[in-house]
Amino acid sequence: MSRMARLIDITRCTACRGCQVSCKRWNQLAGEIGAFTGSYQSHDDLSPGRWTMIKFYEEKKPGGEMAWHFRKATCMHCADAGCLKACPNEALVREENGTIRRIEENCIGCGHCVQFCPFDIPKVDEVAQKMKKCTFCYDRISNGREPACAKTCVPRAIVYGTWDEMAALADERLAQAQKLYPDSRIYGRDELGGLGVIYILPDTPAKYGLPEDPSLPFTLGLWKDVVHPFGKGLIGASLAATGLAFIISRRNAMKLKESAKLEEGGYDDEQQKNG
Amino acid sequence: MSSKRMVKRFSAAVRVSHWLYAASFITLAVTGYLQFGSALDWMIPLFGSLEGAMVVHRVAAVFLIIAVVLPLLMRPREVSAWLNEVFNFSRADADFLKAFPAKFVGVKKEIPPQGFYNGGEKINSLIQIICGAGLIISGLFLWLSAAPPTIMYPLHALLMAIGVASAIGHIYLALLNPISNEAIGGMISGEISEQYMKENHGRWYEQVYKKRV
Ligand code: HEM
Ligand code: SF4
Ligand code: SF4
Ligand code: SF4
Repeated sequence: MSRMARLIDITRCTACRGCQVSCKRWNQLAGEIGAFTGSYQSHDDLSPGRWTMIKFYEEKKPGGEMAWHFRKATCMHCADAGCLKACPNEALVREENGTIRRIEENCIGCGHCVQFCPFDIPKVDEVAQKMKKCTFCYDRISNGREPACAKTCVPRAIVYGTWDEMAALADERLAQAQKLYPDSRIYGRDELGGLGVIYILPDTPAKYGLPEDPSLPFTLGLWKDVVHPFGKGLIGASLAATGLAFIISRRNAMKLKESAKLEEGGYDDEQQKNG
Repeated sequence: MSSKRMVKRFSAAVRVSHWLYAASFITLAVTGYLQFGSALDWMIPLFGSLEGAMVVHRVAAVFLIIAVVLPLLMRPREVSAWLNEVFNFSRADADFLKAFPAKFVGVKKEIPPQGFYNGGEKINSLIQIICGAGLIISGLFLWLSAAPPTIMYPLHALLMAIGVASAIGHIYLALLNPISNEAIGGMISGEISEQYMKENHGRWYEQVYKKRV
């Protein structure tokens, strides 16, 4: 199966939050009433029971005028996924269709994935000790249906298809968007080796709470690609060296024992003295 | 049996701390390794689950910290004498290291008179001090910080590997190596024979006897 993707066209999104509701509904996640956040945003952040939401960003223009930006936040199902690399227990796998899928039984809730996701997506349920995030509706898409959030989206701001189709559609959508928002751009097609979510943003990524040039911290590669193999080699070498030394020292001791039979004050005698 | 005369080497507080550190360190190394590699995965049932092992990791960490703090509070002078020796690497220590490969495989070899600690013990102490301090600091970050600096992950793993590799050598020399394993008595009963002291820690022997004369 080829890699699948969502195109999320923020220039068409009306912030109706239909996707937020249909995600809850399909995945049977209970509704949660959050405290007032000081803006139109419904809750302060994603949560173990909230895998997608519309995030609002207010901007005060130089003239004092307010500008509103919003974006559907969700797991990007990255090609080069930091969460997957950081996971110590193979609780995250890449499926053939591009889904970065959680394996519930393997998850120990350690939260390493949280620290290494460039988009701050995974949330750990501290009671259940499990990480939760968008599943890319893996159950639906592996049965030929589109994700619940894409299906519900009225203005067709969320479109689902193969990654190649979405990458091509992005150009088409960009051309339309630029008529209304001259600063529009594509985000996610080239970033981090291609994300599973391709955005059409009306303005710079920073205005939508996205990193301009997302990357995985070098400490992740240092940890998993350098320290882990080096550390295993070092411990192995130490075991091998002491094992070998042990065998040689035993053989030397045996030799001494032999000669100790011949002369007094030999190895045996000394061992007894030492006690 | 004059050669059986015993000499006091380590106080009870230091010995308790040594064994508490050893037990905590091994527990931490095993439970931590479950996240690091797969060679010990067969031990997971011992802890119930990997989650259980990580709880044990944190409990053992508390004991490890106690093992470090205890002698600092109870025997500060013994600890500072140790630190003084360890951070004072001399000619005799370097010469010891030349004879070390032979000792390591159980061949007796003349060594220049050593102080309270020989060159090898000093290096082992240095490695354990640096790794222990680094593991405690990075470990506390990983445990208590909501967003630890990400360098703490590779640092914790690296110090574990270095600390464990050198601890393996230390355990072998203390328990299984026929020409140095007498030293373990110093850590169990607190005493070693004068004979062993004379042969292996000549300078210390002299210091002790000069004082008495
Ligand atoms: C006071 C000291 C220590 C504390 C507080 C501590 C804490 C931690 C924490 C919080 C983690 C992350 C795992 C998790 O979140 O469940 C961890 C991982 C680990 N710890 Fe420790 N630890 C300490 C000492 C040690 C020692 C002494 C060793 C080994 C000799 C060790 C070996 C490891 C290893 C191997 C890992 C896994 C790292 C990886 O996957 O690369 N830790 N430790
Ligand atoms: S967005 Fe974060 S959680 Fe989702 S695949 Fe990428 S790194 Fe993993
Ligand atoms: S919380 Fe779960 S998914 Fe995340 S790194 Fe830990 S084990 Fe892996
Ligand atoms: S793909 Fe499915 S799980 Fe992910 S945000 Fe959309 S509806 Fe929710």
